[in-house]
Amino acid sequence: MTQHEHDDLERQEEAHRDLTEALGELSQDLRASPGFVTRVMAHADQRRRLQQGWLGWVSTLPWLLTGPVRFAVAAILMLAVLGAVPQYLNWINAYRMDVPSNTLQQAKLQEQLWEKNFNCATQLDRHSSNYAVINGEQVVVVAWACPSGDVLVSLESTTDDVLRRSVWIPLNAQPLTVGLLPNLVETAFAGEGLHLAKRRGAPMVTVLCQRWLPKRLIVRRIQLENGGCFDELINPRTGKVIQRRKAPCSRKC
Amino acid sequence: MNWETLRSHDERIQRDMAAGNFRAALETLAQGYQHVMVGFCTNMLGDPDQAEEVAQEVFLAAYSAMPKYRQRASVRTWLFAIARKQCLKAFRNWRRRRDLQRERQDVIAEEVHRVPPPPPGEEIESRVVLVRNGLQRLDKAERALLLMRYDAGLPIADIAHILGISIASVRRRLGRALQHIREIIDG
Repeated sequence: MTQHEHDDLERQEEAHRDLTEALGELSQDLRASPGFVTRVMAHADQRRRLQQGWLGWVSTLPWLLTGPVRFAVAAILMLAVLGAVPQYLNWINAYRMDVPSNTLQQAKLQEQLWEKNFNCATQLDRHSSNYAVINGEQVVVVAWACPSGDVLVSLESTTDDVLRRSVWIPLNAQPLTVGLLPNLVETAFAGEGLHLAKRRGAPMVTVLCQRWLPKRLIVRRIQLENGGCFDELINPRTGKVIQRRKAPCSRKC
Repeated sequence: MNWETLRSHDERIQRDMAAGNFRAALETLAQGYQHVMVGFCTNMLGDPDQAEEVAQEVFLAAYSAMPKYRQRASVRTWLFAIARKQCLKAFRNWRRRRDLQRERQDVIAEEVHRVPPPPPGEEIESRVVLVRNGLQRLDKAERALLLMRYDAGLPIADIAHILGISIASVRRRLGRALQHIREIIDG
């Protein structure tokens, strides 16, 4: 501390002597009420009894407070926390990808398949795609096989927007992948509902163009067999068509 | 504040704490410091009823902390450190009440300003009222600092120990706090 700093406070105190004197008077008339000490002691005794009530059993088991036991408890807690790290990462990734944590692996796989087969998916056209109509033509399933062996399954519903989606079935498909489609389609592809499906002469949709958007979304322009065109916003992780709006029938997205 | 009287209390408290007689130490502590703590908390919080409750909490917190007391600081410094923490905690818990209190104090302060200058004999008393009201409009850290130094009369080194800062910093902050309360009082 410099002499200057030392003098500075002395000067301030001198200049504000009336204030420092008044500050010194503040507590002079302030007294604790009668019985203050008795109340403090009563509260202290009460708290001690409560603590003994909660933690009294610890004192009957002194080995619980020994070093090795404390170390073991700390180690178990640490292992439990560390062991759960993959689960925490899973939750974080699922949150970032905006999918339920139990479908995270599938969401990653779907995104990879979209990247891998992006150009192939653009070439989907009405003349060569296979399709099936189930449930009395209310739902149309278009299957588009790519050279990689992966198949893009697009589900079209004339009545239910929620059902619209495009999901990749990889060449080495796991049953879980197919599970991403609604049960209806799963059963159709498993062969159980084949009696509901029937062949028709022409497929329903043609993809005119598609491109990636920020936040890893895909916009795909399709032309329906009635000639109308729509832009579909697809979440590649879930395959769900988030939005569908009318668009010009051009091949520039 | 008669610290000499309290010195004998402090020695007894330290002896009891060292021997593990925490209840006896608490009793001596509360008997010796009850008025000091109620005064400090009243001036910090601006509400005598609330202050007495917080002062009780100060002694109970001290009781809980007694097993960890290592005599690095005097009993007085140790207790003021606890009191400051408890008052700041009370501020956080009762922020809404404090704001209402402040508004009320502002009104009182305005009223005081309107009062004509007092006769010479009453000047000191009037100054105390002004300072008390001005204190309530001061930042609570600066308020604690001024009270510890000029009301409780703690040495600057003890305040530095309580706040965990250097003596030079305490001196600078004290100078600033004095200026601020002057500005508040003089409007």
